[in-house]
Amino acid sequence: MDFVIEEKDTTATYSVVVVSGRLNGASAPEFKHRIKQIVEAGKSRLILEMGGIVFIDSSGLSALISGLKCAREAGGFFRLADLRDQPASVIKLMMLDRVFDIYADVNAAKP
Amino acid sequence: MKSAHHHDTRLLLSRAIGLAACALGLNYIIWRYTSSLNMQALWFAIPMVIAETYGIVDMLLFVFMSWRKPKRDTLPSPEKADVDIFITTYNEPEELVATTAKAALRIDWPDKKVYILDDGARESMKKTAEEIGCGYISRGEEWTEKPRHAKAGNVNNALLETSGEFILILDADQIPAPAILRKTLGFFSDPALAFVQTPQYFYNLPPGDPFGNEASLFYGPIQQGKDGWNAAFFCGSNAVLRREALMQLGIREYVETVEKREREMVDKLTKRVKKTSCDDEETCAAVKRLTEGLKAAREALDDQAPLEHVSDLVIEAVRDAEFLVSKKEVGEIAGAMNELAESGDAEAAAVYRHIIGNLDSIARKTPPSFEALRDSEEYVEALNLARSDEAVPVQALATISITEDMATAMRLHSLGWKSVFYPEVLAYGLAPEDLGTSLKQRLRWAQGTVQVFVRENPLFKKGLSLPQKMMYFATMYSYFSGFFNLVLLLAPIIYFFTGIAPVNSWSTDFFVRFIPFFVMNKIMFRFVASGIPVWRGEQYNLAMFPLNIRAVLSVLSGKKLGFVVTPKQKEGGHDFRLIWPQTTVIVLTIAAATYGIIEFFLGRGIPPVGLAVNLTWSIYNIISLAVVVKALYYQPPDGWSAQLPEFARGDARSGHAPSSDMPALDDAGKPDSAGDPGAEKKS
Repeated sequence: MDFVIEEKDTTATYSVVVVSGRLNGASAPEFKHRIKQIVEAGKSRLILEMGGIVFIDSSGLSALISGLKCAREAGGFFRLADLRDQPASVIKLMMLDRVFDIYADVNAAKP
Repeated sequence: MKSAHHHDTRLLLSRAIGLAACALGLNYIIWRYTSSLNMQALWFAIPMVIAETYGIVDMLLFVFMSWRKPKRDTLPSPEKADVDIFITTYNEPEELVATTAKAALRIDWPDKKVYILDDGARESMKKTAEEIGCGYISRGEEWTEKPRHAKAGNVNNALLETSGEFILILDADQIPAPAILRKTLGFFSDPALAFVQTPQYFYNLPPGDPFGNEASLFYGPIQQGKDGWNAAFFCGSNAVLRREALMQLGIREYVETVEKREREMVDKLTKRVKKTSCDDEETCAAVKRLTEGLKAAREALDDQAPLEHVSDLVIEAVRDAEFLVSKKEVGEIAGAMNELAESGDAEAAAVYRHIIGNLDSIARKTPPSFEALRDSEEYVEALNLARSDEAVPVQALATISITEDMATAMRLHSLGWKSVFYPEVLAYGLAPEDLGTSLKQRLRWAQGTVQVFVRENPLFKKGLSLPQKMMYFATMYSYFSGFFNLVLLLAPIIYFFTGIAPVNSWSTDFFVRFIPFFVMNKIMFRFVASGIPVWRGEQYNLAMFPLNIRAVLSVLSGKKLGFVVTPKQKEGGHDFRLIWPQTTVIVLTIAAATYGIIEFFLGRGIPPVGLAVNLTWSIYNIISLAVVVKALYYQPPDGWSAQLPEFARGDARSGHAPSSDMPALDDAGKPDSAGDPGAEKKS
């Protein structure tokens, strides 16, 4: 399953970014690049809709951290929503649930 | 089968000898404490017995380390595995790097990508990489004005730009054998295995190894022993690592660091807000808002709430408080304008109307002069969870020490990852070729190791097994030897000049305990070394006392340690300052011995046995220390030059080995990050 990232629903207080596929070493550079573009376009209050992410590894997690860095340095936020089991358990294993604000779905993540 | 049987028999014998040495050592040292201290000269007797105890403990640790010696047979390679090969360089000659890169491209493995990690960002190196047909990575703009973390930073940067499942790390001079991956990847069929370390072998050691660089004891019995306790050391080069393990390490470290900073930030702000006084309604309201917000943040932290949420709580409180204060200040300006307006200033009247009309938005945009939030950059950094002080938030290779590899392996082990030391030589590199360079390298190992001891002491590291703690501790412990060796060097000098001995008499009691222990200790060490020469190492162990003392003191004094920049060329001349402490001790020893002998023959001095013991001891000390004097003036024999390993010779464009005055080191952590072949040798 190829990795896809697209921007959806930008409002005054948040933007939703939808990702799907495998977020790993191969797709991490694209992910980081796109997030950077979005933030540079002035949209730093991001909700990452991850329902389509079937697999994530440490490189993918590191890309998420880069996204967080990018958004928060621009004064925004970086919320994760709608995680499947594999990403959720890896995030927990790596203790990243201590860092990321994680929501059951996009609606819950809206400020 | 026969060889396995032989292996077992040898190991059993080695254990028996080790236990015998320990028993004799304990027998001796207990006798020293209970029955032989020179009570008339405790100032001398106590340091001496402590120095001896240090040696006994060192021996016990060594025997424990040698207890197991796993046989590592290559396992079948996986069918497919992407491997990134990193060749780290900073300022080595490009030809040297190219030789390594070409050898890397010839490694027998289909799914590999070779990258030159050039921390020197040399345009010509980039071009060379293109010509050879390998990748080239140097640091991006995100590293500008951020700590670079030398070699660790170089590798961490490349980890984020590549994606192979495994990584083979090679220093610029380490020419890999074609089989290096076929022989090592099979071990990764164990999903818990983080890395396989293979030996460092130097193809440029001059005859007799004058600088004591020979590493086969460390990359042999010592690493094998550590491997027996799942504590093989990662040595920064010639190792294959699992990317997932490294990244996991980086992420864990990130989480720990940002959490720690968040807590510090909340505490610091809370303290500051408490100290802020208020004498008007708005400021008091602002202080109250901040206090509440920080309290909520503190509670959220304690409830294990996500740090993003905690940050938001603080940020909201800060914004509200700033707004309250700004509004007051803007209001005061408006008031002043109003006074001017009433006295007939039309412009002031317009400004007044503008401010009153837009009070909120102006207040939001105006930074208040609010004491509680002065110097706010500090905590903004913590609040954005971004580690803005670092170029990249996730740093897989540990950056706490100038020997990043040891700290990295220790962290991996503490997270439950396994390691393998595979003893076959699969890469060929260069050792320093003069004493000055060699000493710089040793100093870096020593400082780096002591640094890890201080900052991340293995004895208190959660997740390490007791034997793992002992293995890390043993190596660190060995770098504290300088102080104790100094006592052992000074003892005969003191004896000759003053007639005062650390023991109460040089009696039969002394000899029957000391000699068996001493002899058994030497036998044990040689047996474990199984044929590898150990004498040079023993000499250097004693002779490095000034360097080891300096390393410990420099770390403990908290001085900032740089990567020791090693000169590009062999240092010309023979800088006598390098060896003045050893020379001083040699001269003093000779003077003392001469004085002792004269006194003896004049019949006013020491007893014959005392004379004999201390003369022997003096000679041992002088011979050991003389190794650095010889090394300082060493010239390789005419016609000798380093020979590239056979398999690497064919392609070198002009077919010649790197010239022998090639730098064998650099400040970005070349061979010197390759473990500590020198230190961990028993005396």
